[in-house]
Amino acid sequence: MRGGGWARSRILGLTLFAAAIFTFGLTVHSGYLLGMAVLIALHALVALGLGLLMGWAGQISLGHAGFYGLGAYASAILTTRFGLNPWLALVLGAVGTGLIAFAVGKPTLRLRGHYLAMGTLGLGLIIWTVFNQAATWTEGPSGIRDIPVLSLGGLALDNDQRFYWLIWPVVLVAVMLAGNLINSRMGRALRALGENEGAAAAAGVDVARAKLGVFTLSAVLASIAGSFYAHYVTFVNPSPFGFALSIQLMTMVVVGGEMTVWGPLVGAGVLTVLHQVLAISAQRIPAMEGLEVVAYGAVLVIFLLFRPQGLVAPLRRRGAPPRAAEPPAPRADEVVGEAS
Amino acid sequence: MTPDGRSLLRLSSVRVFYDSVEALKGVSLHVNEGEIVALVGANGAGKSTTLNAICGLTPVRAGEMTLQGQSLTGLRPDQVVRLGITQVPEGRQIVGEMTVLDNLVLGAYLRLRAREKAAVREDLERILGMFPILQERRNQAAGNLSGGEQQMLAVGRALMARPRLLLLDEPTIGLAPRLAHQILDTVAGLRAQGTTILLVEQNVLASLRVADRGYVLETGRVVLEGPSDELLRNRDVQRAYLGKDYEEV
Repeated sequence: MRGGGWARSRILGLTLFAAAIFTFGLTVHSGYLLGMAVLIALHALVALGLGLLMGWAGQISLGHAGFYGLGAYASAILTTRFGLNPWLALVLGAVGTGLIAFAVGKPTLRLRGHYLAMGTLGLGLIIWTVFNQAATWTEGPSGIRDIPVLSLGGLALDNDQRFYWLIWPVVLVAVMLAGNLINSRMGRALRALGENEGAAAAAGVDVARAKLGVFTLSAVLASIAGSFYAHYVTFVNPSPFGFALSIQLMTMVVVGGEMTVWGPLVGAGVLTVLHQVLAISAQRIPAMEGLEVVAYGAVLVIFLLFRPQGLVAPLRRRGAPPRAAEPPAPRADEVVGEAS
Repeated sequence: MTPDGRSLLRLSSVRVFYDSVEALKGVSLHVNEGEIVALVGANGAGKSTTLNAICGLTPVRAGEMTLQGQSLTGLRPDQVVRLGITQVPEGRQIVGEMTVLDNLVLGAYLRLRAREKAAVREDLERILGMFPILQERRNQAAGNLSGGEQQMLAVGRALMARPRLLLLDEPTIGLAPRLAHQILDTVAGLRAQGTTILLVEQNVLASLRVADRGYVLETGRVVLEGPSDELLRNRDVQRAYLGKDYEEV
Protein backbone atom coordinates (compact mmCIF):
# COMPACT_ATOMS: atom_id res chain seq x y z
CA MET A 1 0.00 0.00 0.00
CA ARG A 2 2.30 2.65 -1.25
CA GLY A 3 1.65 6.35 -1.18
CA GLY A 4 -2.04 6.07 -0.35
CA GLY A 5 -2.62 4.92 -3.90
CA TRP A 6 -5.64 2.80 -3.09
CA ALA A 7 -8.76 4.34 -4.45
CA ARG A 8 -11.85 3.94 -2.30
CA SER A 9 -13.61 2.03 -5.04
CA ARG A 10 -10.83 -0.55 -5.10
CA ILE A 11 -10.91 -1.14 -1.38
CA LEU A 12 -14.68 -1.44 -1.56
CA GLY A 13 -14.48 -3.89 -4.45
CA LEU A 14 -11.94 -6.11 -2.72
CA THR A 15 -13.89 -6.02 0.54
CA LEU A 16 -17.11 -7.05 -1.18
CA PHE A 17 -15.23 -9.78 -3.01
CA ALA A 18 -13.73 -11.13 0.22
CA ALA A 19 -17.18 -11.00 1.84
CA ALA A 20 -18.68 -12.96 -1.06
CA ILE A 21 -15.96 -15.59 -0.74
CA PHE A 22 -16.66 -15.96 2.97
CA THR A 23 -20.43 -16.02 2.60
CA PHE A 24 -20.38 -18.66 -0.11
CA GLY A 25 -17.81 -20.78 1.71
CA LEU A 26 -19.71 -20.68 5.02
CA THR A 27 -23.21 -21.24 3.69
CA VAL A 28 -22.72 -23.65 0.82
CA HIS A 29 -21.98 -27.24 1.73
CA SER A 30 -22.83 -28.99 -1.49
CA GLY A 31 -19.75 -30.71 -2.83
CA TYR A 32 -20.96 -30.16 -6.36
CA LEU A 33 -21.32 -26.39 -5.95
CA LEU A 34 -18.02 -26.08 -4.07
CA GLY A 35 -16.31 -28.07 -6.80
CA MET A 36 -17.79 -25.77 -9.39
CA ALA A 37 -16.57 -22.78 -7.39
CA VAL A 38 -13.06 -24.26 -7.35
CA LEU A 39 -13.17 -24.74 -11.10
CA ILE A 40 -14.30 -21.14 -11.56
CA ALA A 41 -11.42 -19.99 -9.38
CA LEU A 42 -8.89 -21.96 -11.43
CA HIS A 43 -10.25 -20.52 -14.66
CA ALA A 44 -10.39 -17.07 -13.12
CA LEU A 45 -6.66 -17.20 -12.34
CA VAL A 46 -5.83 -18.00 -15.95
CA ALA A 47 -8.35 -15.49 -17.31
CA LEU A 48 -6.97 -12.77 -15.04
CA GLY A 49 -3.52 -13.08 -16.61
CA LEU A 50 -4.98 -13.41 -20.08
CA GLY A 51 -7.08 -10.29 -19.42
CA LEU A 52 -3.95 -8.32 -18.58
CA LEU A 53 -2.44 -9.44 -21.85
CA MET A 54 -5.52 -8.81 -23.99
CA GLY A 55 -6.84 -5.68 -22.35
CA TRP A 56 -3.68 -3.91 -21.34
CA ALA A 57 -1.07 -5.03 -23.81
CA GLY A 58 -3.48 -5.44 -26.73
CA GLN A 59 -2.27 -8.95 -27.58
CA ILE A 60 -4.07 -12.25 -27.94
CA SER A 61 -2.84 -15.67 -26.86
CA LEU A 62 -4.39 -18.81 -28.26
CA GLY A 63 -2.17 -21.08 -26.20
CA HIS A 64 -3.06 -20.41 -22.59
CA ALA A 65 -4.60 -23.84 -22.18
CA GLY A 66 -1.10 -25.10 -22.98
CA PHE A 67 0.48 -23.04 -20.19
CA TYR A 68 -2.26 -24.23 -17.83
CA GLY A 69 -1.44 -27.78 -18.89
CA LEU A 70 2.30 -27.25 -18.46
CA GLY A 71 1.73 -26.27 -14.84
CA ALA A 72 -0.52 -29.27 -14.28
CA TYR A 73 1.87 -31.75 -15.88
CA ALA A 74 4.94 -30.23 -14.21
CA SER A 75 3.29 -30.69 -10.84
CA ALA A 76 2.06 -34.17 -11.72
CA ILE A 77 5.42 -35.42 -12.97
CA LEU A 78 7.60 -33.73 -10.37
CA THR A 79 5.52 -35.00 -7.45
CA THR A 80 4.73 -38.54 -8.64
CA ARG A 81 8.08 -39.37 -10.24
CA PHE A 82 10.53 -37.39 -8.20
CA GLY A 83 8.60 -37.12 -4.97
CA LEU A 84 9.03 -33.38 -4.84
CA ASN A 85 7.05 -31.29 -2.41
CA PRO A 86 3.90 -30.10 -4.27
CA TRP A 87 4.58 -26.46 -3.44
CA LEU A 88 8.10 -26.70 -4.81
CA ALA A 89 6.73 -28.43 -7.93
CA LEU A 90 4.29 -25.55 -8.37
CA VAL A 91 7.10 -23.03 -8.26
CA LEU A 92 9.34 -25.01 -10.63
CA GLY A 93 6.45 -25.47 -13.05
CA ALA A 94 5.76 -21.74 -13.01
CA VAL A 95 9.42 -20.88 -13.64
CA GLY A 96 9.69 -23.38 -16.49
CA THR A 97 6.47 -22.20 -18.11
CA GLY A 98 7.60 -18.60 -17.74
CA LEU A 99 10.84 -19.41 -19.56
CA ILE A 100 8.99 -21.13 -22.41
CA ALA A 101 6.58 -18.20 -22.75
CA PHE A 102 9.52 -15.80 -22.75
CA ALA A 103 11.26 -17.78 -25.50
CA VAL A 104 8.14 -17.77 -27.69
CA GLY A 105 7.19 -14.18 -26.92
CA LYS A 106 10.58 -12.62 -27.48
CA PRO A 107 10.75 -13.02 -31.27
CA THR A 108 7.01 -12.70 -31.93
CA LEU A 109 6.37 -9.59 -29.83
CA ARG A 110 9.08 -7.64 -31.64
CA LEU A 111 6.79 -7.73 -34.67
CA ARG A 112 3.68 -5.64 -34.98
CA GLY A 113 0.38 -7.38 -35.44
CA HIS A 114 -0.98 -10.60 -34.10
CA TYR A 115 2.10 -12.74 -34.42
CA LEU A 116 1.85 -13.73 -30.79
CA ALA A 117 -1.58 -15.25 -31.49
CA MET A 118 -0.05 -17.35 -34.26
CA GLY A 119 2.95 -18.32 -32.16
CA THR A 120 0.87 -19.34 -29.17
CA LEU A 121 -1.61 -21.21 -31.34
CA GLY A 122 1.29 -23.36 -32.58
CA LEU A 123 2.80 -23.67 -29.14
CA GLY A 124 -0.51 -24.78 -27.62
CA LEU A 125 -0.86 -27.52 -30.21
CA ILE A 126 2.73 -28.66 -29.70
CA ILE A 127 2.26 -28.84 -25.94
CA TRP A 128 -0.95 -30.82 -26.36
CA THR A 129 0.75 -33.21 -28.76
CA VAL A 130 3.62 -33.72 -26.35
CA PHE A 131 1.18 -34.54 -23.53
CA ASN A 132 -0.30 -37.21 -25.79
CA GLN A 133 2.84 -38.61 -27.36
CA ALA A 134 5.61 -38.39 -24.75
CA ALA A 135 4.11 -41.35 -22.95
CA THR A 136 7.33 -42.20 -21.07
CA TRP A 137 6.78 -39.05 -19.04
CA THR A 138 3.10 -38.22 -19.44
CA GLU A 139 1.53 -41.69 -19.70
CA GLY A 140 -0.03 -40.46 -22.94
CA PRO A 141 -3.82 -40.16 -23.24
CA SER A 142 -4.45 -42.32 -20.18
CA GLY A 143 -2.86 -39.67 -17.99
CA ILE A 144 -1.10 -39.51 -14.64
CA ARG A 145 -2.89 -40.79 -11.54
CA ASP A 146 -2.43 -40.48 -7.81
CA ILE A 147 -1.06 -36.98 -7.72
CA PRO A 148 -0.68 -36.04 -4.06
CA VAL A 149 -2.96 -33.38 -2.63
CA LEU A 150 -1.61 -30.10 -1.35
CA SER A 151 -1.32 -29.61 2.35
CA LEU A 152 -1.14 -26.43 4.30
CA GLY A 153 0.28 -26.41 7.79
CA GLY A 154 -0.22 -30.16 8.13
CA LEU A 155 -3.82 -30.01 6.88
CA ALA A 156 -4.35 -32.04 3.73
CA LEU A 157 -6.53 -30.14 1.28
CA ASP A 158 -8.27 -33.30 0.21
CA ASN A 159 -11.88 -32.20 -0.24
CA ASP A 160 -13.76 -29.53 -2.14
CA GLN A 161 -14.39 -27.42 0.91
CA ARG A 162 -10.79 -27.29 2.05
CA PHE A 163 -9.57 -26.57 -1.45
CA TYR A 164 -12.15 -23.82 -1.78
CA TRP A 165 -10.63 -22.05 1.23
CA LEU A 166 -7.21 -22.21 -0.37
CA ILE A 167 -7.99 -21.26 -3.93
CA TRP A 168 -10.35 -18.34 -3.48
CA PRO A 169 -8.01 -16.40 -1.18
CA VAL A 170 -5.35 -17.05 -3.83
CA VAL A 171 -7.65 -15.48 -6.43
CA LEU A 172 -8.27 -12.56 -4.08
CA VAL A 173 -4.54 -11.97 -3.72
CA ALA A 174 -4.04 -12.30 -7.48
CA VAL A 175 -6.77 -9.73 -8.13
CA MET A 176 -5.15 -7.43 -5.60
CA LEU A 177 -1.73 -7.78 -7.22
CA ALA A 178 -3.15 -7.30 -10.71
CA GLY A 179 -4.84 -4.13 -9.49
CA ASN A 180 -1.53 -2.94 -8.08
CA LEU A 181 0.16 -3.62 -11.39
CA ILE A 182 -2.46 -1.72 -13.33
CA ASN A 183 -2.17 1.29 -11.04
CA SER A 184 1.61 1.34 -11.19
CA ARG A 185 3.95 3.15 -13.53
CA MET A 186 4.20 -0.07 -15.53
CA GLY A 187 0.43 -0.42 -15.69
CA ARG A 188 0.06 3.09 -17.01
CA ALA A 189 2.58 2.24 -19.69
CA LEU A 190 0.68 -0.93 -20.57
CA ARG A 191 -2.64 0.82 -20.70
CA ALA A 192 -1.10 3.39 -23.01
CA LEU A 193 0.46 0.86 -25.33
CA GLY A 194 -2.71 -1.21 -25.51
CA GLU A 195 -4.56 1.78 -26.86
CA ASN A 196 -1.87 3.79 -28.58
CA GLU A 197 1.60 2.38 -29.14
CA GLY A 198 2.83 5.68 -30.54
CA ALA A 199 2.01 7.48 -27.33
CA ALA A 200 3.72 4.84 -25.22
CA ALA A 201 6.85 4.85 -27.36
CA ALA A 202 6.95 8.66 -27.28
CA ALA A 203 7.00 8.46 -23.50
CA GLY A 204 10.03 6.18 -23.60
CA VAL A 205 8.28 2.87 -22.99
CA ASP A 206 10.12 -0.08 -24.49
CA VAL A 207 6.98 -1.43 -26.09
CA ALA A 208 8.25 -4.89 -26.98
CA ARG A 209 9.69 -5.50 -23.53
CA ALA A 210 6.55 -4.38 -21.74
CA LYS A 211 4.42 -6.74 -23.82
CA LEU A 212 6.84 -9.57 -23.24
CA GLY A 213 6.65 -8.95 -19.51
CA VAL A 214 2.86 -9.16 -19.39
CA PHE A 215 2.77 -12.20 -21.62
CA THR A 216 5.28 -14.04 -19.44
CA LEU A 217 3.39 -13.03 -16.31
CA SER A 218 0.12 -14.31 -17.76
CA ALA A 219 1.74 -17.63 -18.67
CA VAL A 220 3.12 -17.96 -15.13
CA LEU A 221 -0.34 -17.34 -13.67
CA ALA A 222 -1.79 -19.98 -15.98
CA SER A 223 0.89 -22.45 -14.90
CA ILE A 224 0.19 -21.82 -11.21
CA ALA A 225 -3.51 -22.40 -11.82
CA GLY A 226 -2.61 -25.62 -13.65
CA SER A 227 -0.57 -26.85 -10.70
CA PHE A 228 -3.49 -26.19 -8.39
CA TYR A 229 -5.72 -28.09 -10.81
CA ALA A 230 -3.42 -31.13 -10.75
CA HIS A 231 -3.38 -31.28 -6.96
CA TYR A 232 -7.11 -30.68 -6.72
CA VAL A 233 -8.22 -33.32 -9.22
CA THR A 234 -5.19 -35.57 -8.43
CA PHE A 235 -5.29 -36.78 -12.01
CA VAL A 236 -4.24 -35.20 -15.29
CA ASN A 237 -4.68 -36.28 -18.88
CA PRO A 238 -4.28 -34.22 -22.06
CA SER A 239 -7.94 -33.71 -22.93
CA PRO A 240 -8.75 -30.64 -20.80
CA PHE A 241 -5.74 -28.71 -22.12
CA GLY A 242 -6.58 -28.57 -25.81
CA PHE A 243 -7.39 -25.72 -28.14
CA ALA A 244 -11.03 -25.66 -27.01
CA LEU A 245 -9.98 -24.50 -23.54
CA SER A 246 -7.80 -21.75 -25.02
CA ILE A 247 -10.85 -20.46 -26.88
CA GLN A 248 -12.96 -20.83 -23.77
CA LEU A 249 -10.45 -18.80 -21.75
CA MET A 250 -10.36 -16.09 -24.37
CA THR A 251 -14.15 -16.02 -24.40
CA MET A 252 -14.14 -15.57 -20.62
CA VAL A 253 -12.03 -12.45 -20.98
CA VAL A 254 -14.17 -11.04 -23.79
CA VAL A 255 -17.45 -11.79 -22.03
CA GLY A 256 -16.33 -10.43 -18.69
CA GLY A 257 -14.53 -7.42 -20.08
CA GLU A 258 -10.80 -6.99 -20.39
CA MET A 259 -10.35 -3.48 -19.05
CA THR A 260 -10.90 -4.20 -15.37
CA VAL A 261 -9.54 -6.93 -13.11
CA TRP A 262 -13.11 -7.98 -12.31
CA GLY A 263 -14.08 -8.69 -15.91
CA PRO A 264 -12.13 -11.95 -16.37
CA LEU A 265 -13.41 -13.11 -12.98
CA VAL A 266 -17.03 -12.62 -14.00
CA GLY A 267 -16.31 -14.15 -17.39
CA ALA A 268 -14.77 -17.23 -15.74
CA GLY A 269 -17.91 -17.61 -13.65
CA VAL A 270 -20.35 -17.21 -16.53
CA LEU A 271 -18.48 -19.47 -18.95
CA THR A 272 -17.72 -22.21 -16.42
CA VAL A 273 -21.40 -22.38 -15.43
CA LEU A 274 -22.42 -22.33 -19.10
CA HIS A 275 -20.01 -25.18 -19.73
CA GLN A 276 -21.59 -27.25 -16.95
CA VAL A 277 -25.12 -26.52 -18.12
CA LEU A 278 -24.26 -27.54 -21.65
CA ALA A 279 -22.47 -30.67 -20.46
CA ILE A 280 -25.49 -31.74 -18.40
CA SER A 281 -27.90 -31.04 -21.25
CA ALA A 282 -25.72 -33.07 -23.56
CA GLN A 283 -26.01 -36.02 -21.16
CA ARG A 284 -29.79 -35.77 -21.02
CA ILE A 285 -30.53 -34.78 -24.61
CA PRO A 286 -28.30 -36.64 -27.06
CA ALA A 287 -29.01 -34.07 -29.78
CA MET A 288 -27.15 -31.45 -27.72
CA GLU A 289 -23.91 -33.39 -28.05
CA GLY A 290 -21.13 -31.25 -29.48
CA LEU A 291 -23.22 -28.13 -29.37
CA GLU A 292 -20.87 -26.71 -26.76
CA VAL A 293 -18.32 -25.45 -29.24
CA VAL A 294 -21.04 -23.79 -31.27
CA ALA A 295 -22.30 -22.10 -28.12
CA TYR A 296 -18.87 -20.62 -27.29
CA GLY A 297 -18.50 -19.35 -30.82
CA ALA A 298 -21.94 -17.78 -30.67
CA VAL A 299 -21.27 -16.17 -27.29
CA LEU A 300 -17.95 -14.80 -28.52
CA VAL A 301 -19.45 -13.32 -31.67
CA ILE A 302 -22.47 -11.87 -29.88
CA PHE A 303 -20.28 -10.12 -27.34
CA LEU A 304 -17.80 -8.81 -29.88
CA LEU A 305 -20.70 -7.38 -31.90
CA PHE A 306 -22.99 -6.03 -29.22
CA ARG A 307 -20.98 -5.55 -26.07
CA PRO A 308 -17.28 -5.48 -26.95
CA GLN A 309 -16.42 -3.91 -23.60
CA GLY A 310 -17.75 -7.01 -21.79
CA LEU A 311 -20.10 -7.34 -18.84
CA VAL A 312 -17.87 -5.36 -16.50
CA ALA A 313 -16.89 -2.12 -18.19
CA PRO A 314 -14.63 0.56 -16.76
CA LEU A 315 -16.28 3.80 -15.79
CA ARG A 316 -14.65 6.02 -18.36
CA ARG A 317 -14.95 5.37 -22.02
CA ARG A 318 -13.72 7.22 -25.01
CA GLY A 319 -16.38 9.40 -26.57
CA ALA A 320 -18.53 9.35 -23.48
CA PRO A 321 -19.68 12.87 -22.69
CA PRO A 322 -17.94 14.48 -19.73
CA ARG A 323 -19.92 13.50 -16.72
CA ALA A 324 -21.60 16.29 -14.83
CA ALA A 325 -20.54 15.06 -11.44
CA GLU A 326 -16.88 14.09 -11.48
CA PRO A 327 -15.75 11.93 -8.59
CA PRO A 328 -13.70 13.79 -6.01
CA ALA A 329 -10.47 14.63 -7.77
CA PRO A 330 -7.34 12.88 -6.58
CA ARG A 331 -4.59 15.37 -6.01
CA ALA A 332 -1.63 15.34 -8.32
CA ASP A 333 0.65 13.93 -5.62
CA GLU A 334 -1.67 11.00 -5.11
CA VAL A 335 -1.38 10.02 -8.73
CA VAL A 336 2.38 10.25 -8.75
CA GLY A 337 2.40 8.46 -5.43
CA GLU A 338 0.89 5.40 -7.08
CA ALA A 339 3.49 5.40 -9.71
CA SER A 340 6.60 4.12 -8.00
CA MET B 1 25.66 28.66 -40.75
CA THR B 2 28.24 26.47 -39.10
CA PRO B 3 27.46 24.65 -35.91
CA ASP B 4 29.22 26.14 -32.92
CA GLY B 5 30.32 24.57 -29.67
CA ARG B 6 26.90 24.84 -28.07
CA SER B 7 25.29 22.68 -30.69
CA LEU B 8 23.05 20.12 -28.98
CA LEU B 9 21.71 18.14 -31.91
CA ARG B 10 23.59 17.65 -35.14
CA LEU B 11 22.57 15.82 -38.30
CA SER B 12 25.09 15.45 -41.08
CA SER B 13 24.17 14.13 -44.52
CA VAL B 14 21.36 11.96 -43.22
CA ARG B 15 19.76 9.80 -45.88
CA VAL B 16 16.54 7.86 -45.43
CA PHE B 17 14.86 5.54 -47.89
CA TYR B 18 11.31 4.24 -48.00
CA ASP B 19 11.97 1.10 -49.99
CA SER B 20 13.78 2.47 -53.03
CA VAL B 21 12.43 6.00 -52.71
CA GLU B 22 14.92 8.38 -51.19
CA ALA B 23 12.97 10.50 -48.71
CA LEU B 24 15.93 12.37 -47.21
CA LYS B 25 18.77 13.09 -49.61
CA GLY B 26 21.51 14.08 -47.23
CA VAL B 27 20.00 16.41 -44.67
CA SER B 28 22.38 18.35 -42.46
CA LEU B 29 21.22 20.59 -39.68
CA HIS B 30 21.99 21.49 -36.10
CA VAL B 31 20.17 22.81 -33.10
CA ASN B 32 21.98 24.82 -30.47
CA GLU B 33 21.21 24.69 -26.78
CA GLY B 34 18.32 27.02 -25.91
CA GLU B 35 17.22 27.64 -29.49
CA ILE B 36 13.96 27.15 -31.31
CA VAL B 37 14.71 25.88 -34.78
CA ALA B 38 11.94 25.57 -37.34
CA LEU B 39 11.92 22.95 -40.06
CA VAL B 40 9.53 24.17 -42.73
CA GLY B 41 8.45 23.03 -46.14
CA ALA B 42 5.55 21.66 -48.10
CA ASN B 43 3.83 18.35 -47.59
CA GLY B 44 6.16 15.50 -48.45
CA ALA B 45 9.33 17.57 -48.21
CA GLY B 46 10.71 15.24 -45.53
CA LYS B 47 10.05 17.21 -42.37
CA SER B 48 8.35 14.45 -40.43
CA THR B 49 10.76 11.91 -41.84
CA THR B 50 13.60 13.94 -40.37
CA LEU B 51 11.98 13.92 -36.94
CA ASN B 52 11.17 10.22 -37.15
CA ALA B 53 14.78 9.49 -38.09
CA ILE B 54 16.00 11.40 -35.03
CA CYS B 55 13.54 9.51 -32.82
CA GLY B 56 14.58 6.11 -34.07
CA LEU B 57 11.21 5.45 -35.69
CA THR B 58 12.64 5.40 -39.20
CA PRO B 59 15.94 3.71 -40.00
CA VAL B 60 18.72 5.87 -41.40
CA ARG B 61 20.73 4.46 -44.28
CA ALA B 62 23.64 6.90 -44.27
CA GLY B 63 24.88 9.91 -42.35
CA GLU B 64 25.39 10.75 -38.71
CA MET B 65 23.08 12.01 -35.98
CA THR B 66 24.45 13.07 -32.63
CA LEU B 67 23.15 14.54 -29.41
CA GLN B 68 26.03 16.39 -27.75
CA GLY B 69 28.46 14.18 -29.58
CA GLN B 70 26.67 10.97 -28.67
CA SER B 71 25.48 8.98 -31.67
CA LEU B 72 21.74 8.47 -32.13
CA THR B 73 22.01 6.29 -35.19
CA GLY B 74 20.40 2.89 -34.81
CA LEU B 75 18.87 3.51 -31.40
CA ARG B 76 15.36 2.34 -30.51
CA PRO B 77 12.71 5.01 -29.81
CA ASP B 78 12.78 4.41 -26.07
CA GLN B 79 16.58 4.66 -26.02
CA VAL B 80 16.38 8.02 -27.77
CA VAL B 81 13.90 9.21 -25.17
CA ARG B 82 16.30 8.05 -22.49
CA LEU B 83 19.02 10.26 -23.95
CA GLY B 84 16.76 13.27 -23.53
CA ILE B 85 14.93 13.74 -26.82
CA THR B 86 11.16 13.73 -26.58
CA GLN B 87 8.84 14.00 -29.52
CA VAL B 88 5.34 15.35 -29.62
CA PRO B 89 4.23 13.13 -32.47
CA GLU B 90 2.07 14.31 -35.32
CA GLY B 91 -1.58 13.74 -34.55
CA ARG B 92 -0.90 14.18 -30.82
CA GLN B 93 -1.01 10.51 -29.88
CA ILE B 94 -2.59 10.98 -26.52
CA VAL B 95 -4.19 8.00 -24.80
CA GLY B 96 -7.88 8.77 -25.10
CA GLU B 97 -9.10 6.37 -22.45
CA MET B 98 -6.72 7.54 -19.77
CA THR B 99 -7.31 10.66 -17.74
CA VAL B 100 -5.48 13.87 -18.50
CA LEU B 101 -3.49 13.39 -15.33
CA ASP B 102 -2.48 9.83 -16.22
CA ASN B 103 -1.42 10.97 -19.69
CA LEU B 104 0.83 13.58 -18.14
CA VAL B 105 2.35 11.18 -15.64
CA LEU B 106 2.94 8.70 -18.46
CA GLY B 107 5.32 11.27 -19.91
CA ALA B 108 7.50 10.89 -16.83
CA TYR B 109 7.69 7.12 -17.28
CA LEU B 110 11.48 6.93 -17.35
CA ARG B 111 11.95 9.48 -14.60
CA LEU B 112 9.62 7.57 -12.30
CA ARG B 113 11.64 4.47 -12.95
CA ALA B 114 14.64 6.46 -11.82
CA ARG B 115 12.62 7.28 -8.68
CA GLU B 116 12.54 11.03 -9.24
CA LYS B 117 9.13 11.12 -7.62
CA ALA B 118 9.41 14.48 -5.90
CA ALA B 119 10.71 16.26 -8.98
CA VAL B 120 8.00 14.67 -11.13
CA ARG B 121 5.34 15.89 -8.73
CA GLU B 122 6.79 19.38 -8.92
CA ASP B 123 6.82 19.34 -12.71
CA LEU B 124 3.26 18.07 -12.78
CA GLU B 125 2.12 21.05 -10.73
CA ARG B 126 4.16 23.41 -12.89
CA ILE B 127 2.75 22.06 -16.15
CA LEU B 128 -0.81 22.07 -14.84
CA GLY B 129 -0.17 25.70 -13.91
CA MET B 130 1.06 26.38 -17.42
CA PHE B 131 -2.07 24.91 -19.01
CA PRO B 132 -5.05 25.94 -16.87
CA ILE B 133 -7.43 24.01 -19.10
CA LEU B 134 -5.60 20.77 -18.32
CA GLN B 135 -5.75 21.57 -14.63
CA GLU B 136 -9.48 22.08 -14.94
CA ARG B 137 -10.09 18.86 -16.82
CA ARG B 138 -7.39 16.73 -15.28
CA ASN B 139 -9.71 13.90 -14.24
CA GLN B 140 -11.51 13.62 -17.54
CA ALA B 141 -10.67 11.09 -20.20
CA ALA B 142 -8.18 12.69 -22.55
CA GLY B 143 -10.30 11.62 -25.51
CA ASN B 144 -12.96 14.08 -24.40
CA LEU B 145 -10.69 17.09 -24.83
CA SER B 146 -10.94 19.31 -27.88
CA GLY B 147 -8.24 19.21 -30.54
CA GLY B 148 -6.38 22.20 -29.14
CA GLU B 149 -6.57 20.87 -25.61
CA GLN B 150 -5.24 17.50 -26.74
CA GLN B 151 -2.33 19.26 -28.39
CA MET B 152 -1.56 21.07 -25.15
CA LEU B 153 -1.78 17.74 -23.35
CA ALA B 154 0.68 16.21 -25.82
CA VAL B 155 3.09 19.09 -25.25
CA GLY B 156 2.60 18.86 -21.50
CA ARG B 157 3.26 15.13 -21.54
CA ALA B 158 6.46 15.63 -23.49
CA LEU B 159 7.60 18.26 -20.99
CA MET B 160 7.02 15.79 -18.14
CA ALA B 161 10.03 13.90 -19.47
CA ARG B 162 12.13 17.04 -18.89
CA PRO B 163 13.66 16.69 -22.33
CA ARG B 164 16.93 18.30 -23.32
CA LEU B 165 15.46 18.59 -26.78
CA LEU B 166 11.78 18.77 -27.61
CA LEU B 167 10.66 17.75 -31.08
CA LEU B 168 7.30 19.15 -32.15
CA ASP B 169 5.70 17.63 -35.23
CA GLU B 170 3.04 19.90 -36.73
CA PRO B 171 1.64 21.08 -33.41
CA THR B 172 -0.88 23.41 -35.05
CA ILE B 173 -2.21 21.05 -37.69
CA GLY B 174 -5.98 21.02 -37.86
CA LEU B 175 -6.37 23.76 -35.27
CA ALA B 176 -8.29 26.99 -35.65
CA PRO B 177 -5.95 29.96 -36.20
CA ARG B 178 -6.57 31.35 -32.73
CA LEU B 179 -5.67 28.02 -31.11
CA ALA B 180 -2.68 27.64 -33.41
CA HIS B 181 -1.37 30.96 -32.17
CA GLN B 182 -1.96 29.94 -28.61
CA ILE B 183 0.09 26.78 -29.13
CA LEU B 184 2.93 28.66 -30.77
CA ASP B 185 2.87 31.23 -27.96
CA THR B 186 3.28 28.33 -25.58
CA VAL B 187 6.23 27.12 -27.62
CA ALA B 188 7.82 30.55 -27.42
CA GLY B 189 7.19 30.52 -23.68
CA LEU B 190 9.03 27.21 -23.34
CA ARG B 191 12.16 28.70 -24.83
CA ALA B 192 12.06 31.37 -22.20
CA GLN B 193 12.25 28.54 -19.67
CA GLY B 194 15.32 27.14 -21.39
CA THR B 195 13.83 24.29 -23.42
CA THR B 196 15.49 23.61 -26.75
CA ILE B 197 13.00 22.94 -29.52
CA LEU B 198 13.02 21.60 -33.05
CA LEU B 199 9.71 22.57 -34.58
CA VAL B 200 8.26 21.07 -37.74
CA GLU B 201 5.53 23.13 -39.32
CA GLN B 202 3.63 23.59 -42.54
CA ASN B 203 2.57 26.96 -41.25
CA VAL B 204 5.77 28.67 -42.40
CA LEU B 205 4.99 32.22 -41.41
CA ALA B 206 3.78 31.45 -37.91
CA SER B 207 6.56 29.02 -37.10
CA LEU B 208 9.35 31.29 -38.34
CA ARG B 209 7.94 34.01 -36.12
CA VAL B 210 8.58 32.00 -32.98
CA ALA B 211 11.81 30.35 -34.15
CA ASP B 212 15.35 31.70 -33.93
CA ARG B 213 16.51 29.94 -37.04
CA GLY B 214 14.93 27.90 -39.76
CA TYR B 215 15.63 25.31 -42.41
CA VAL B 216 13.54 25.05 -45.55
CA LEU B 217 13.17 21.50 -46.84
CA GLU B 218 12.23 20.63 -50.38
CA THR B 219 11.92 17.05 -51.65
CA GLY B 220 14.30 15.69 -49.04
CA ARG B 221 16.92 18.44 -49.18
CA VAL B 222 17.69 21.56 -47.19
CA VAL B 223 17.36 24.31 -49.78
CA LEU B 224 17.60 27.32 -47.50
CA GLU B 225 18.71 28.02 -43.97
CA GLY B 226 19.30 30.97 -41.78
CA PRO B 227 17.96 33.20 -39.03
CA SER B 228 14.18 33.37 -39.07
CA ASP B 229 13.93 37.07 -39.89
CA GLU B 230 16.19 36.57 -42.90
CA LEU B 231 14.11 33.67 -44.11
CA LEU B 232 10.94 35.67 -43.63
CA ARG B 233 12.38 38.44 -45.82
CA ASN B 234 13.61 35.97 -48.42
CA ARG B 235 11.64 36.39 -51.63
CA ASP B 236 11.71 32.70 -52.51
CA VAL B 237 10.22 31.86 -49.16
CA GLN B 238 7.63 34.57 -49.55
CA ARG B 239 6.72 33.41 -53.01
CA ALA B 240 6.58 29.76 -52.05
CA TYR B 241 4.59 30.58 -48.98
CA LEU B 242 2.11 32.76 -50.85
CA GLY B 243 1.90 30.26 -53.69
CA LYS B 244 1.06 27.53 -51.27
CA ASP B 245 -1.51 29.80 -49.79
CA TYR B 246 -3.26 30.17 -53.12
CA GLU B 247 -3.34 26.45 -53.65
CA GLU B 248 -4.84 25.91 -50.28
CA VAL B 249 -7.62 28.47 -50.75
